[in-house]
Amino acid sequence: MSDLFQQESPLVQIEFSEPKGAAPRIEEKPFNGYLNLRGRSDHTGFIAGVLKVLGVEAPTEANTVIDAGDNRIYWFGPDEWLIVTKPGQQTRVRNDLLAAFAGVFSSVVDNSSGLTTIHVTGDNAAALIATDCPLDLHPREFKPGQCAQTRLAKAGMTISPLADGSGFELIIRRSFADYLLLWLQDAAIAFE
Amino acid sequence: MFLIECPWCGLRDETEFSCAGEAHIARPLETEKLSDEEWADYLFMRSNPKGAHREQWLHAAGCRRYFNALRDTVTYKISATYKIGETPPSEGKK
Ligand SMILES: [Zn+2]
Repeated sequence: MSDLFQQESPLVQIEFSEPKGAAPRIEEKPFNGYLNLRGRSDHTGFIAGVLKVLGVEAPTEANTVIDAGDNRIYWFGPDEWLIVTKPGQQTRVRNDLLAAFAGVFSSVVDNSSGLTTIHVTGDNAAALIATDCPLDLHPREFKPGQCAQTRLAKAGMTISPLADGSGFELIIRRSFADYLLLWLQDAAIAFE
Repeated sequence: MFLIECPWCGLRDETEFSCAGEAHIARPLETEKLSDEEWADYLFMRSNPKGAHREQWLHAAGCRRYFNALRDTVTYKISATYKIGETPPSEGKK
């Protein structure tokens, strides 16, 4: 692909360095696809469309996330989900969903350039996030398979524990990405 | 920390929520037949009670759903929350 169309992360100007001392590791997982999916979870055509394209039904249990092959589906509301695809897959998944939903009350919106993913890992990952996040991050309350939309340092985010228990995945808006990364790196100094 | 129970997400910090005024105000049908007084009453007039109050709340930083809450306007205690379309708990009926 030509350099003219080179994709640039909203965090391109942030320097990610090796964590010092007991500070958690903070890294970006850039360029995933993000599709906002809306529809009625009790409508057979909607359920069938999701099943056909993603191989699973959209989760109806509040604040849960499921793996669907290469994709992940986050519960965002009783009629709203976020589908995270591998980089570059979003247009195909979106088109497949739109085709499967022909005549079905639904919407699929590509929000890929609006969001990015951060991983915070290490022993103090929860402590670092809890510096300014009101959610209970204790593994007794918040386990892999769960997700939550809440706030980090006053900015909206979607958080879920990583499957291997090493830390958390944060999905943040690109317009807050620079602020949140600078905030995280600053808050991490306390753990060095 | 003051917690509010979203009917979808469970107990969450109050900073995730915003209040959206009195609940259970039905929009009148055939609004074109209303007098100015009736229309103004629907738009602007609220009961503003001292004590139990049925309110709409929005889980703004969470699932972004509106729901109803039964809140005491004196103590701020929220005794129940319930989904839009559900009947309010009997305690709130006056
Ligand atoms: Zn909620």
